[in-house]
Amino acid sequence: MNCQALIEKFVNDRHETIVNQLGQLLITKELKLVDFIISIGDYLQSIELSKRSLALTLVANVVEYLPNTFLEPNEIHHLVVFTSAKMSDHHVLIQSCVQLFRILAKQSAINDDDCITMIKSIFSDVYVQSFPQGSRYNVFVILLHFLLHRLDVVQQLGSDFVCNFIQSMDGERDPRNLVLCFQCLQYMTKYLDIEPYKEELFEIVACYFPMEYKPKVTNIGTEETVTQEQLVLALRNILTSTGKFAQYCIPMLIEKLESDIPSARLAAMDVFIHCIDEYDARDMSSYLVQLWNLFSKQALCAENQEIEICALQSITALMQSIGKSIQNDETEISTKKLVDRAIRECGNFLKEFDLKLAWPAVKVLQAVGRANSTCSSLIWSNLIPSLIKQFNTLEQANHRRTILDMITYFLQPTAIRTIIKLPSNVSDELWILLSTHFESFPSHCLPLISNLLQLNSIPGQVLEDNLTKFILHANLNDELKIKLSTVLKILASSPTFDRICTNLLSNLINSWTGTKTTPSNETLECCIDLCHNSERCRERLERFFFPSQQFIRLLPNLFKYLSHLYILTNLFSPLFDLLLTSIVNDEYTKIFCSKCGSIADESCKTFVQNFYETNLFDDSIWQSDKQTNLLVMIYFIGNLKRKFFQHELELIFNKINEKIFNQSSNEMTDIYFYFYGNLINKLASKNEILEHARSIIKQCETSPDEKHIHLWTIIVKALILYRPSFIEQYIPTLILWMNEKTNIANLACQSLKSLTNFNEQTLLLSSDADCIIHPMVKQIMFMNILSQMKPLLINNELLPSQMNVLVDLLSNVPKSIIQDDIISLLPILIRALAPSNESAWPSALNSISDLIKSEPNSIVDHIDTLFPRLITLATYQKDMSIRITSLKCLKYLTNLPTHKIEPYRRNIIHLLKVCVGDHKRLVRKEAVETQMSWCLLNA
Amino acid sequence: MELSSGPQNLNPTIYERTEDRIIQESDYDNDVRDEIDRREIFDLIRSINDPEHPLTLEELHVVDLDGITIDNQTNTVQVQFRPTIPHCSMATLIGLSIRAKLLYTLPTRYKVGVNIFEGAHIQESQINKQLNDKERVTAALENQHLRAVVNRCITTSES
Repeated sequence: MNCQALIEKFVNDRHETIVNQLGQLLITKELKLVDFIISIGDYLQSIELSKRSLALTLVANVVEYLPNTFLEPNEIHHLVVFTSAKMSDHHVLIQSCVQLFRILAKQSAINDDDCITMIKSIFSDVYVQSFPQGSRYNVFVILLHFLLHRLDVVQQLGSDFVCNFIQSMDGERDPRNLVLCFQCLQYMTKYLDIEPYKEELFEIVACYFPMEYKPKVTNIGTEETVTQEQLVLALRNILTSTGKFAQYCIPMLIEKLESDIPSARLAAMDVFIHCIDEYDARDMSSYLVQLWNLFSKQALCAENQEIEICALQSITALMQSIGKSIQNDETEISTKKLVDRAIRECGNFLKEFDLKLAWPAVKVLQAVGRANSTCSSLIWSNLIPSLIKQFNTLEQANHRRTILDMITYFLQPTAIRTIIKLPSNVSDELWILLSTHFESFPSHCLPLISNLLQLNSIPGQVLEDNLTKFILHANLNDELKIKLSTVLKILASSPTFDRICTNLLSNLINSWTGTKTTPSNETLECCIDLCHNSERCRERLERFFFPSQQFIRLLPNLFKYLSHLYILTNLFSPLFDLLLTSIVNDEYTKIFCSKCGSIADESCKTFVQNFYETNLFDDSIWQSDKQTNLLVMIYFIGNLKRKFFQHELELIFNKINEKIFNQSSNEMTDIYFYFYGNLINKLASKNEILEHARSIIKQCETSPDEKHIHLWTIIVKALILYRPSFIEQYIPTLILWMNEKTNIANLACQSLKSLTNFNEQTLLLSSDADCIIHPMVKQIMFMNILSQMKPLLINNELLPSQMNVLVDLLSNVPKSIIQDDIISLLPILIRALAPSNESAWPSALNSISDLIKSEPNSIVDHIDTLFPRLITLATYQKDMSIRITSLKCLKYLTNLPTHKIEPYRRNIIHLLKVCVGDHKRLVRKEAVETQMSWCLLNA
Repeated sequence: MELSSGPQNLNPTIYERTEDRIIQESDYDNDVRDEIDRREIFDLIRSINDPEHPLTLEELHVVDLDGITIDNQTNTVQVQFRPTIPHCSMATLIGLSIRAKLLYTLPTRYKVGVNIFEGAHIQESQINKQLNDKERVTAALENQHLRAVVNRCITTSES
């Protein structure tokens, strides 16, 4: 079919495939563009408006089909000239013209003059706001394209472009177009001369502030929608893009800050916080006091935390902006003047601690202080001495505590604190205060000490004595321990406090060497805290502790401060000898060995080789009395990196094969099997190892007893972690075992449980031990297991152990995977709450509680069975977490329609009378909340 | 009792809330018995809303920890509260709200007494008498209108 015929067909039938055919002809050069235009010429000049329009649309669509490097400059030129002539022809044609322009603008060969023609034509002939959204969108796309890619051309047009753009955009309401407009404006304020039209430009943007837009809920999920955040951000970026807007923007922000609508105030503060990079304090000099008043009012009487945080940030921003400008005490642009005002206005509130305004005032003053170093010094030197004076005159302990907390809050570290110094008189006064009152208020003094130390304020001798006494004699609770540890770590980290640190360490060590007693764990932990310093750690360790067995246990904490080389060369051999002779099987040993293994690199090849050859391959070590030594080795070797020790690991795998299987069953068998799994996982990329693993799995399947099922599980898990799709082959076997009527069913359930439990990874099958773990292992596993287990799940005659493991499985599966299935599985969950399934209760209750919370209505059909069970479990004496979760479920159930739950109300309120008298406080707390929900059901 | 007239204390003093109770390790041990203590009673009533202001009784200092006594041997609880002004007409309603909240949430074994701090109200003795008369309290809570007002006071944001 020739070109003419195709065109006719399009005009008559509007067949869309014709566009593709014509485009293809042009690309393959079977048709020339000129010939195409000549062929369509009659239609383009037809006296019928609809035909002209259709012909133009066809041209636009065909050109769109072509790649954007296809057209020659002269072709583009003629098309541009022709299209701009058509613009003034008839308004109906304009939409097609704009479409064609959009495509031509993106052609890479377009020259500058054509760009200018196009822009001028758009601005003179197109009354943008009278067109539908699509065409307006096209116009803005063209303009944004030029701003982004042909800025030089746009700059030639100068501020005319700005003026015309303002006219085009005026009155735009569609969010999709607004996003584009805002982008254009951002470029314009940055690269074009907006000076003559800055007020108009501001007005056109300001009318959208504050942006309140809620996206419509569309049924088509894939459709891209503009979000509120996108618009808010775009609008904020323009308002804060140039200091030229300051004179208009600040009054607008003030107006919004004075309004009653919290969202408007929040938006105004958000803009202010971001505008200080561009706006100069001189531009807003006449508004500074007014802004301060508004912000401090917001912060002092904030309705919610969001407003409070925003207001405090605004105060800091205001002070920073003044700090950046040239100070002049004659005008309001003076840090000192504004800080004085802040102290005058808020300082009084600090004297009335019981009042609600005391803490907001502290926060406001701290927000002023954190702006820059001048503000900090002024605030500190004004407020802290008077607070100290107040402290000394007050009698009540809780008032004194509040003052300590306030000082701590003022001195809390912020981003700028590293460069400023606390005035020395303030610092001295504080240290005196701390030394006198440390014993009475340790919990409040410790945070203050850490803040002071972080400001590099040097404490006196008294601190050491106080701390030593405190560590050795005080009965430390968890909260105090954390605070103390922070102080000690700060002391350890800085060279400034080296003397104090050394003295403290000596004091502590003397305390037990002098009296020849055993130090308490707390004291040891404090000593370790004092070694937290990458440069001094080694020295301190060697000087004070080595060799001491107690410290070996705590050493893993310090590993990050010691260089690998140091550990490899100095710690390995003596420590391992020590460990081999004296260790006991505990968590610390495992962690210690695994850390050693994980840092071993190529430089320790010889050590590793000697180590396993002399130890692991020695038959005597496999005897039962030396098993702890074996454990050390297993954890060490299990953590070696594949990258450096592939060959060694393979060697070990082949050698210990026999040894592991010849072992008689004992409590260590489990760890041997995991070690074996660890090696298989690390070497699974080698075919012979994979085959070997598979043959062992087969062997286990032929004689399924406890030992073999256990080994089967571990090897399968090692393989699944490497490649999750392997699970498909093994699940049928597991299901077969689970349906057996013997003990095998229970073992298989246990096996499924450990296969699907990813939360409690054993040390030897985890990424920490450098095992290969597929990133999607959870998703692939659960999808596979669930699809194969479905029939089993809906089976009504589940054994208790099966029920238990399946319910567990459900609570382990990520919610997104079972979202659709969970409702169909609800009957099983409820059945799991029956008295016979005690062990399944926690998991089932958690799943049900999540479900009721997120979708209460899904449970409506089951409330008849669910209520009695929850009522029984709410008084289950053996486990308080079950009572708490049941009460939570009962509380969430009050969200169901009242007529559904009303019949149960009396009964439940009666039951809850028992629960509010529970012997555990946490249960009572939950019971009270539940009781109130039920009592006030209709209130 | 007049409920419709405007607030009497237009500008009450507002106080800082006390910190939430810190949960200890032993709180999670099912075998340890946690006796109900003063603080727990305080936690029950601190969040009751004032009938006139959008503030809690704790923020207005109407109730505080010192005003509560509990004896687990004799199973008695005594709560003393302090109206913000001595002629406050809401005192009875506040007392009734405290009674109602404790009635709903305390184990039934406790005998509860709610009184005004000595000298904190001009009609102290009458109000105390009303509040501790079991029949009158029951009758008041059966009155639909009054119950709605009390319920509004004891509804906390969590429930």
